[in-house]
Amino acid sequence: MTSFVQIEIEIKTDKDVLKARREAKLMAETVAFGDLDTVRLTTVVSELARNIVKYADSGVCSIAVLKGSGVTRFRCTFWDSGPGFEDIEAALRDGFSTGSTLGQGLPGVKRIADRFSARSTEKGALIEVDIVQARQTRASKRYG
Amino acid sequence: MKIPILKHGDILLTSFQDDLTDRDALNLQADLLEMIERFGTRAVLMDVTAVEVIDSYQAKMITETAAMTRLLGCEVVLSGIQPKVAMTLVELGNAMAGIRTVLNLQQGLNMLQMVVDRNEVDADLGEETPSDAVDDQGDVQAEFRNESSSSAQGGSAGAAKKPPPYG
Repeated sequence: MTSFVQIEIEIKTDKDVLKARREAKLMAETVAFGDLDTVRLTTVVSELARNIVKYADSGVCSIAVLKGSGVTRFRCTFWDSGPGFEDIEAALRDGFSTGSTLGQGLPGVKRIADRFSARSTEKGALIEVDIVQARQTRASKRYG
Repeated sequence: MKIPILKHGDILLTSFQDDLTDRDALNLQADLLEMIERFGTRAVLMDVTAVEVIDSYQAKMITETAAMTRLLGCEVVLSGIQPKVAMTLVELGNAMAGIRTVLNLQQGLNMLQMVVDRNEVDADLGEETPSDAVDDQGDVQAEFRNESSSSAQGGSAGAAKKPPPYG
């Protein structure tokens, strides 16, 4: 049996970042996502929600989980109405930063996530990440 | 939510929680520095055992708090990073550089107690000339020099694994 749950959270302040993390953690616990995968999920949610607070006036974070026979997949979408990324390729390169952190946001998220897509227009940015419950070792993905 | 700062002898101890707002973090930094100044503290232990998520923003907040205490002359140590958090941090590309780390609270207290004790020895030795110190307390001077060179190694790789000299 397949189940699907989705929630949406408006992101404006640091308190909303905490809220998004809490919701993600709760959903992960509900579907027995596992300790390490839960940390991967909440860290990614925290990182991307924080970007909305830092670089845009406001945005929306949606967290969806699809639990099927065999695999549990979280799909998180982050949309903001900010200025968008001028050069999205550059933003994905390690070390790039316009802010005061060391540009470890997006490239790090891309490494952790099982699927990552980012789109940017002058109307805003849309980032979509998947976190899948790992059933085999992820070493091959990291070092292969 | 106010983060408590505990005084454990000459060591200040603070325990980060998960639901820390930006305001809480700023208040913690201010409170910590104020207490260091008030008590003349030389050693600070920051514990993150209860922290389940550390993203790059929080990692920066932690390392910056540590840097502030160092500017006030403190030795600062971070304890209790959970294994799953450590794995995620490294994958995120953030190895919390610039801060000494230990496994848990007890190791942190042991390490910082050595710092506090060494500072007391410093104060005693300061009243003698170097040659007097070598003649009368050759052993203690040698121990002190060993400790100095090991603490000069930076980062978490330099976390001392030697037994305490006075233990």
